[in-house]
Formats: sequence, structure tokens, C-alpha cells
Amino acid sequence: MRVFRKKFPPLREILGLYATIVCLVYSWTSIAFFWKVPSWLYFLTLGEIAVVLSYLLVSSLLEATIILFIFLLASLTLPSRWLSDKFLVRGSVIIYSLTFWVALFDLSSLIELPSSSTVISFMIGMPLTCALAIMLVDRISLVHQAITSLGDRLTIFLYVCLPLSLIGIFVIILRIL
Amino acid sequence: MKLTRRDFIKSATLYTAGMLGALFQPNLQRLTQSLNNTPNIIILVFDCFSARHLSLLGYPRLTTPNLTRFAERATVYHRHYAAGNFTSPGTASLLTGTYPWTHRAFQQAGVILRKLADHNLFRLIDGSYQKAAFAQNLWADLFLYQFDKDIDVHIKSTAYSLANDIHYNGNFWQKDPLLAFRADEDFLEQDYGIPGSLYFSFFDKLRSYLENEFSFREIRKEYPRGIPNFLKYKLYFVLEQVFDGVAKEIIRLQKPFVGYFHLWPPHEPYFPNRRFIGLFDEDDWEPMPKPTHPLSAGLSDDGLNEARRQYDEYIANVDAEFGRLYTRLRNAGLLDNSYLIVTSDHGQLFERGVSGHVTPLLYDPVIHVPLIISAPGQSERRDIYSPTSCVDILPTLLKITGSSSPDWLDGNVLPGFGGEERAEQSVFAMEAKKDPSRDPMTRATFAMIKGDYKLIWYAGYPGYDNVYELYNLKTDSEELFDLSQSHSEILAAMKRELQAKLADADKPFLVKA
Repeated sequence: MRVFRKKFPPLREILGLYATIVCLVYSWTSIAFFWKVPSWLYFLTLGEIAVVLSYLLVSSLLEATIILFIFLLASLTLPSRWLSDKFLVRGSVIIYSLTFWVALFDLSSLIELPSSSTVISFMIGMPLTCALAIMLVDRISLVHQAITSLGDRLTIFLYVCLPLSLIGIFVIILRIL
Repeated sequence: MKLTRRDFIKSATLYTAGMLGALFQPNLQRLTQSLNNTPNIIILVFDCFSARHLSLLGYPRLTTPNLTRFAERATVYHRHYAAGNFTSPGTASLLTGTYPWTHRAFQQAGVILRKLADHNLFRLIDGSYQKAAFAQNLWADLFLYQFDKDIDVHIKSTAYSLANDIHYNGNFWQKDPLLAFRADEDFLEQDYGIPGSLYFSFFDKLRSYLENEFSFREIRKEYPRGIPNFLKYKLYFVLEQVFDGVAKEIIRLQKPFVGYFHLWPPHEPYFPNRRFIGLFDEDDWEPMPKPTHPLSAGLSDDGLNEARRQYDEYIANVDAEFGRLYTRLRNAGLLDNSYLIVTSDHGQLFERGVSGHVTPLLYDPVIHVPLIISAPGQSERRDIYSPTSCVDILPTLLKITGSSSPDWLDGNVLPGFGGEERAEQSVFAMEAKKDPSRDPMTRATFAMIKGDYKLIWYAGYPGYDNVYELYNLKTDSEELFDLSQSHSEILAAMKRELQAKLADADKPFLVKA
């Protein structure tokens, strides 16, 4: 239990990383949503689009929360100095790198299944980018400070996105029960 | 003995029930007997099946020997047209008996107007029939969900698949499948645009990749070009399994029934079984070269001919599977008392710079589809040469089943099944995927076939607005010689008729001043 407590990151850092993940996940979904809305307006009513938006908000909440849990699990299982000691900074760096590669992967495999070369590029490129970014952050304190500060400031997104997602959950319950 | 009030009521009820039973027993027997003799209706829709590629209808490659065998005891329609050039309008017209300008499902993955959801085949056909429906094409399945309360057995689109990652039809979403489709399949995990979910979409794609690379290794030996799949959504299948599943389902349906089975092949990707790959490599036949259309993607003839060859191979594979299904149904004795209808929702184009059907063009290969109907006990082939439309199928089914026919239907009973063979009947097709459902149509292509002539009107395309083409399909079936200048009287008459129809159709959507 003591080891568990020791490895569990401070709440402020957990919130900072969660806010960073929420910001990335919800921003991506929102941009794609506004891209899609004009075509939906051809045949869906505004009410139906609002219901679809509720589904999307809940999906984003789920997505962001699952990712946070993966980070927390990693923090508890890996040696402290790898992740839990610098949870916000290292977590943010990893999630930025991961998001870059995941976006690249998603966009390079539209319509067709991902090719072997796309998968191999991802498997090599993603860990390399993460490692390089972690090295960079560890050595340049300014970047370290910037990421910490950004994580703190992004918590504002939690105050916006989470209540909206709760409304989404309410809508889903009404629709499917 | 004293008779209580309760005893009296009990005795009276039993006496009445006994009398009614005696009275109705012969009628019940007659009813059961007549239901057993009532013919079943089996509708097989092959997605994206151009009539111009059927050896049955004169295509130089031997693509459809089994359909030809089936046609020996069926009515073959030589000039049958879909109402649109892709799934949504074509299927909605077939199921509602109305043109796309009425049901308004003319966008990709569009649905029919909510207020018209009761206008459907399953609602209109007599209640004594069991109604079953299966659409492997998700866009067609959306209509089945719109009509869900009128369908007794709605088989999921994923039913006969090898693997899939489709969620909208799962138990969790059973009360809201249409919007669940929009949120999940059409957005969060979509593959044909920016997926709405960054990470779920990633894991989904990675899983599909691993599955395709490792789980399907054995099946890939049989399907070396790739596992047949639904292009835009993650649904993998093999043809044998789908056709076997459909046959099994048809045989076990409660009689009499109406079964609608909408199969994805021969839609692209063209991944036939290895037995059909290379089938037409050695033939010398080459399609007639045609000029590139200004609204086309401008693809080269070489590329188009290669895609056409692969499409033909896939058709030959589908035909072989149809042959197995047909034999199985016949051996089960089901066809002795069933109408079997084979048709499609739209065709496919490999000319003028276009490969596929996502195009504003409405040349014959993309709207001319097969229609072959065998009636119970039919022993000879019958050929119909007058133009017919997919909107004619529902009125015909209503007549066959003795159901009443509403006045809002756009179609007529097909010749051969009580309708007249009228050479001058006008049939229509349209493409308006860039137009909203609830507004008048402004950017669209319309086709009208009347007698020997075909009019095509392009409206609202930037740089190609208000352009008319006129062809004589009897003397120029390849639509190469535009007669719009030389046959101005025919053009004017057809224009008048088409525009009157459209003005009428758009009336409910005009904003009142």
C-alpha cells in the first residue's frame, strides 16, 4: 500500500495530464465534427445533430479517461523515476508525441487498411520521438517549465468539457432506455 | 341445485366458445390451407450490378451463365432502370415505389423523409406474410431501421460476416441505431474522412490490420486480392458464407413470407475467389473507347479497362454463388411456390474517365440494372423490352400479394405481371448528392427514358450548368451521338415532361414568400 501511495502521482499532476489529454482528444473531435456538420445538415435535423454531438462528447470523455488510466497504470507499474516522479511533464511529452503519430497513422490509412509500412513506421517512429522528446525536456528546463505551466492552464478545459459530457451521458440515457 | 351467478357466467362463456369454435373450424382450416398456397416473395438485390455487364443481356464476356440458366424460366426485363446511381436513392426507390425526388434519400448514407417512413414495402404488403429483411450494405440497412416496426425478422448487416467492427446494430444501441450509426460508423471510426475519434479509430485500424495480416491468412489463399469487404466500414466476409447464410435463412422463414436480401457483392473492392481471377485475361474483347466527360475524374482508358476486367471477374464469382443458391432453393422445393426477383440498386461505370458510380453522370451502365423475375411454376422465358423502373417493383408486389395499392406510388405494375408493355412509358433516374433533402434541388443530374430516347440534364454544376444530351438508345446504345441539336422537338417535349415532374416534386420544399 505504501509503495502504491509512493508511486501514485500528486493529484495536481494527474489533473494537469488529464487536462492535456482532454484538450487534445476533444479538440480533434470538435474539428472533425464541424467538418462533418455541413453534410449532416443535408438530411439530419438540428435536434438529431445535437443527439449525435452528445454521443461524441461521451465517447471523447471515455477516450480521454481510458488514456489517463493507462498512464496511471504505467506509473504504478514502472519504476518511479521513469514516470511517476515527473508524471505531468513526461506524460504530456508522451501524449503529444503519441497524438502526432496516431494522427499521422489515422490520416495515412483512409479508406484502405493501414499498410505494413505505415504500421512499421509507427512502431519505430513513435517510441523514438517519445524518447527524444523526453531527453529534450529533461535537459532544457525552459521546455520543462513550459509544459508544466501549460498543463496547469489547460485544466480550464476540464471545467468546460466534463459538464458538457455529463449532459451527453444524460441524453444517451434518455435515448437508449 | 342452486345456480350461482358465477356458475351461470362460466357456463355461458364455455357454451359460446364451443359454438364459435364449431362455427370457425372449417374457416380456420381453409385459411391455413390458403396461406400454405400463398406464394412467397424472395427479392435478391446485388449491390452495384450493371445490366450492361451481363452475358445474359448480350455482354461479350461470359459473366453470368447461372443467371442465364435461371432466366430460362423467368421474365427478363431488358431495359430496367434504377432510380439513382448509388445505394441510397436506388434502394429507397425500390423499397418505397417512389422516385428520389419524393423520398429525398439522395445523399450518401441519406435516409428517406421521416414523415414518409410508413411508405414502404413491408408496411404495404398484406399482414399475413412474414416480412424478413437483410442488407449487407449499411446504407441500405439504414432504411430497414427506418421501417423496422414493419419488419418481423430484421437480420443484422453483420450476420454472415467473418469479422466486423460495426456497432450501431448492437444491443446497446437497439433503440437508437440510426443516430448511433451517424456517431460511430459515420464519424468516430469513419475511414473515408477525418475520423472523429483519434485513439479509438487508431486502435480500430490497428486491430483490422492485425486481423487481416494474421487471422485471415488461410482465407487469403482463396482470396489472393484481399478478403471481400465493405469498402468504407470494417466488415469482412467470404461470398460462400454469405450466400449459404441467406439460403438457410430463406428456407427456414415462416411461409408465406416476403424476404428482402440485399447483398454487397459485386460492389467494389473487386476481390473474387482465386478461381475467377484471370478469367478474362485471354479474351481479345475491348470496350468501345468513349470521350472523357467534363464532369469525370479523367481516368485513362487503360485503368478503366483493368478495373472493368476485375469487376467482370467478381460478377462471374457472384453468378456462380447465385447458381448455388438457386439450386439449393429449387432442391428445397421453395421455388415451386415463390416469386424470385433478382435486381440491383444501381450499376457501375468504366468509361468517359469514370470508374465506379460516385459521379454526376447517368449513362446507361450506371443506371441500367438487371431485373429477372421467376413466377411459381413458370416454365418458359419471357422477354420484356419496354422501359421499366425500380419504382415499378413495389406496385407489382402489391398486385401479386393481393395487397391494396396506395395512390402515392410513382410506379406501375410491371408488364408480365398484370401491367401493360408500354414503349412510351417514361422512367427517370437522378443524382443529387450535393443537395439537401428539405430544399428544392439545384445541383443535380436527371435522366429520362421514354421510348427509344434518353434525355440527360445536368443542372447547377459550375461550368456545366443547364446542359442537355439526347440519345437514341435503339440506334446508339453506347450513347455516343448527342441528338440534342438535331432533334429539337423530341428534346423540347422530353424537357417539358421532366421539368413539370421536378417542379411538382419540389413544390413542398419551396419557401413560401
